[in-house]
Amino acid sequence: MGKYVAQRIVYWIPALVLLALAVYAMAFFGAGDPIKLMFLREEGDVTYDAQRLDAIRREKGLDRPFLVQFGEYTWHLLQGDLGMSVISGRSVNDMVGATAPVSFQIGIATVFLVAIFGIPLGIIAGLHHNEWLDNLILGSALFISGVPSYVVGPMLMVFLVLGLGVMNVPYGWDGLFSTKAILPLFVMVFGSIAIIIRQTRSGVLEVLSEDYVRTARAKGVPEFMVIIRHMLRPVLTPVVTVLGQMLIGIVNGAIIVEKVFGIPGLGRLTIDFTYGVDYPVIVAITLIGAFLVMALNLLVDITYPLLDPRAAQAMTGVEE
Amino acid sequence: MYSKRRSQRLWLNLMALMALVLIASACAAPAAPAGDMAADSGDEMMMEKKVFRATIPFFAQDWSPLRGGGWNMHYLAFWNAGPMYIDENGELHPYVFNEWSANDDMTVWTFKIDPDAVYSDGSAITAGDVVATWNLIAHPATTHQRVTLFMTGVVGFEDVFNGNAMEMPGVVALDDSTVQVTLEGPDPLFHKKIATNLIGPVKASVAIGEDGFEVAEWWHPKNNPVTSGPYMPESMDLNKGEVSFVKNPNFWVAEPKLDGFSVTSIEDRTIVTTMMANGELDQGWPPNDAASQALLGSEFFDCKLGAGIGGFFLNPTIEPTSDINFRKALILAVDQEQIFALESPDGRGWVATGEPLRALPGSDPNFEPHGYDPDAAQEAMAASAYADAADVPKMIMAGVSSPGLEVLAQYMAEQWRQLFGIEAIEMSPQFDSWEGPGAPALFRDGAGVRVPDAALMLMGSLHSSSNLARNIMGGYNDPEVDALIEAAVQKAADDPERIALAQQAQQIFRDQWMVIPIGTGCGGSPSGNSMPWVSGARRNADAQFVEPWLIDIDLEAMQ
Repeated sequence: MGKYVAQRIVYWIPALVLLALAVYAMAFFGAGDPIKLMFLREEGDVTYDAQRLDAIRREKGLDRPFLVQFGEYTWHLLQGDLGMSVISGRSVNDMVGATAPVSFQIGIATVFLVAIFGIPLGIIAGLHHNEWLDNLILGSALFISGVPSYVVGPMLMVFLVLGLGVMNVPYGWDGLFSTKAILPLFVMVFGSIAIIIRQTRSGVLEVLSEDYVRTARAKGVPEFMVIIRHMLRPVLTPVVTVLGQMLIGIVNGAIIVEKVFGIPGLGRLTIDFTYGVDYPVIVAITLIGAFLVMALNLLVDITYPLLDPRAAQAMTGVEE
Repeated sequence: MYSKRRSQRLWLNLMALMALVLIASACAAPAAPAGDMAADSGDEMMMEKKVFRATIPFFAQDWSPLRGGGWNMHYLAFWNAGPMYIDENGELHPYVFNEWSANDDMTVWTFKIDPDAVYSDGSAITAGDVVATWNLIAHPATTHQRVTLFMTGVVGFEDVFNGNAMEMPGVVALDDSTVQVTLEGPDPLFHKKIATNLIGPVKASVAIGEDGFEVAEWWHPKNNPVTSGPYMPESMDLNKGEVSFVKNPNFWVAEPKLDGFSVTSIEDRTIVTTMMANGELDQGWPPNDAASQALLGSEFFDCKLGAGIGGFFLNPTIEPTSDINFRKALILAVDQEQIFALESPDGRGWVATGEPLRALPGSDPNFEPHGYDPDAAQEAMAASAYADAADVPKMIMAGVSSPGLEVLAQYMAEQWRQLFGIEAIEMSPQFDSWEGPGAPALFRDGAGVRVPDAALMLMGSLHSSSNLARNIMGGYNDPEVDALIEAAVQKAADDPERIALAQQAQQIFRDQWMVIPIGTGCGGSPSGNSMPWVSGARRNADAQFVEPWLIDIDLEAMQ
């Protein structure tokens, strides 16, 4: 197992360097000029002067050749320095260091809530296949998955704040364990839970007809124990994969919910600085995103053997 | 074999790791700053402390007072004192400078610093600080976005502006409290041009490093900044978009009535409306739509006619808009009443006329806006080199940066399609180049004026040196217009010839068919976009709050 993990991590290094090169090149050559955009985004009687813009580029070192700039960036990157934002002049390490934990909190909390509510509902739906309970759960799941978060968020806010008057606008972020986190988490769970319910239900339907389930029931094992001991493990294997992907998606890009609720996470940072073509920030966020994808995939891979002995056998190469 | 015991241990470890990450990240999240929104538990205490809660619709990361732009600069007057200021009626008032005079030919200006003017640390604002600040903002490394509006004409400005020098010889400190500015030519209104918070002095020893450049984040509370306005920074969480300011105990003009003010970045304007309606914000920029009017009251959106010109400016240096008949055809094909109806569904405001001097002293009562005349438009198109629509090259409409603007652009494009058969139109928020195939034929932008003066308005909009002429209009350069404006700005402020010359220049511009005017003419709300319980929130043409130390909150009315 240790060797497997080490091998995977070694593969990451060239992948991350190549990714950094590709993203830096795309931002550098294709996305636009951050200095020009800095002035263009300002309305009205702004001083837009070609000579002045050239002078600003020169002052910020942005007039140097691509390879020189990328080389300097990579050198700093190897020392753990993600560079300085072109637009704000702030340290990207500071910006990412402040926003990434917030995204992680939201991601993990969402996945946790989705799992504890979604998996039991999926099991119930699967066990009551084609009955009214199954239809209710599945129908509700399909309905709620069709309402986008940018509609649910503001609507809930207006309804709860101005309609019922039961709360103030939960704008901003005071940590996971504050009341401001309730509504954004609700919206996040609301949008994601349907996937897990459906995935779990499909898994349950698949294992219901398996011999080992039938045998367990024939032996008089209580239904609850059949579910827990015999059905849950194979059902959870694909669900864990989906939860891992969900976590990656939320940490990397809960853009709409972060924007609507003013949550200072990676998604909000991404969208704000992508508009400005602030490529040190764009590259940093991309690298973090890629690292996260790799790390969570690894985590999912490690989790598989716990759920499915066949996966352990494949990973270690040892027959059980 | 992957043993069961080992598997359980690994499972437990993973669960523990997950819990640890959750707890660690929760602890790593910054705590909410003291002084926040009404939603917090300490709100009642905050309310008693009279904190003016404002918002900007942009995620501002840079709060340096030396940038000359950005949404956060709307609140610069709260914490940065300008040389002088102009109120909402156009009257000039002393501030850091309390005396000023010019020589006979208006080329040398002398300014005296108020002996009471001090920074938040109690130290005196010196002439050396003023000189250092102006040199700093002129330099490209500081990225001040409007410095040309204030410093153009100062001896040595161009060299510093282009990064070829660090100091302007035209700005010197005669002693600790006297600044002398030498101009390249006469400018009777130079003192009014610099009456803005956008070029207020900063304490050089705090804001400027040994290398002569701005110290990174010197303005952040973590670096104990020194400021000069009625309030000073208390906390800034730039990742959350929350900043708060407290009363400056050393402010020399008057004791501020508020205990502090806060600004929060809220990009979703529907949320702004909700928070204002719920009493969680005192001032903001909600959308002027039916929902906001219902929640905030239509009077919130009252406005007065503001100076300035906005619209889709035509580029006379590229095809097809280099053809005056083609420009005429495009303009006559657009119904201004329809444009206004699209922009202002509730009918608030005024139909745009395209008169640059509108709402200024010197507005020309004889100015005739270009009307809507489809027949004349078709005649003009027939007289142009593009009588056959197939000959019209693709036109780029740039600056179409919001859904509202896209509606206007689409309306115009549809008119042109129906009348002339023109279909090759690309709409874009940005563009690739000012020149060549990627250059915009029409660019949506505008220009205003901080000093209510006709000659200065045209100098900043129609003169070939202005941003509007050089860039937005693709290099518009009419020697006759330039000569008239240059003659006008050198006339005394009360000389009727100043206005007459400006009106002549404006008329020439009108006859060149250069702009499809848009805009409702609304120049800001009399209440400064504040809720009814706020008093004293007034804003000037500089988009700055006037005398922010007089802004007050009636806590009882707010309840």
